[in-house]
Amino acid sequence: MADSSTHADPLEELKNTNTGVENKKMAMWAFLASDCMFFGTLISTHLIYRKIYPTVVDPTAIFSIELTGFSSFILLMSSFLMALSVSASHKKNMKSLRFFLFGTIIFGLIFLGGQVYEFSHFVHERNLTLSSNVFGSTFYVLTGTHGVHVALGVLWLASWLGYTYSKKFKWENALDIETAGLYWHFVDIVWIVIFTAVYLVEYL
Amino acid sequence: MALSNKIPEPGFSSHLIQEHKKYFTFFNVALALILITAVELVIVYIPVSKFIVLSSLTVLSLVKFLAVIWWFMHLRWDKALCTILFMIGLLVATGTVTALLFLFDVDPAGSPL
Repeated sequence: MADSSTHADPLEELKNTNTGVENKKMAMWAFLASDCMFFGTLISTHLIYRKIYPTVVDPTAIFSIELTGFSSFILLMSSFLMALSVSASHKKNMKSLRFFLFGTIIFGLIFLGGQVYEFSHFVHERNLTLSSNVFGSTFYVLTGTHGVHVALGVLWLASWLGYTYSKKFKWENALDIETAGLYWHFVDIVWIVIFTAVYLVEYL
Repeated sequence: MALSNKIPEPGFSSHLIQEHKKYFTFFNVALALILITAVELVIVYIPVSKFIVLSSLTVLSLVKFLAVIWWFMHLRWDKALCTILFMIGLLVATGTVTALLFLFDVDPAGSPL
């Protein structure tokens, strides 16, 4: 039978700060708050130019709502797996942590694959490039920036997955996994907004 | 919900019980998110007023957004300070987007700005 210290929350001692919140987590929330403003400007730029120049291009003739819907599903499921990864790290369950982290990375890669396919299709089949018109510029900058966030998240999570195999890994690192998880979920909520504001709205 | 109803073993800390409960919460949230996304995909093809569809999409996205930050991002269980900090950024961003959309409204007289 395991003793109670084995099951204790590995992050309990790290909460002894002035705010009662772990410093790394606090820093991540502050960063995410600033990233909200960053994506806010990109989304508003896209929406404003769509409103000012509505006839530049017909996005419904370009978009594949099936692919985008599938990508949304994949990203939401990766968020679910990330939440389970964080929970596993709090439970000090290494096998589950690795399994769910691996799943999150795979789902992130599938999303990126979908985006690469989408961009490639738009450029080669629909002649929509970054410089072809204002829609192309704002669309690629917005979704591309999100894609870069996803790619960085995948690299970050992959580095943690690799680190779990290192002897240097301690259960206090659960905080780092939780911080990476916050970033990953943020990428998901940004996509929730992009999916509606950029894709679905065009079908009305 | 079978796990959460079990009598905990001696030495099985309340922290672990809490984490086990979270699993079911996360599962339910994930199912709800899939369902809402499916509804969003269908709703755009329903031949009703554009305003109704747009309002529905906005509400559904907001629900998804809040569900992810509340449960998946642990705001439900974390200190209120995290929520306040994030909400400051979110409100500034939402305010900026709203203000810009009104500022750059299309002139009905013909001029784009």
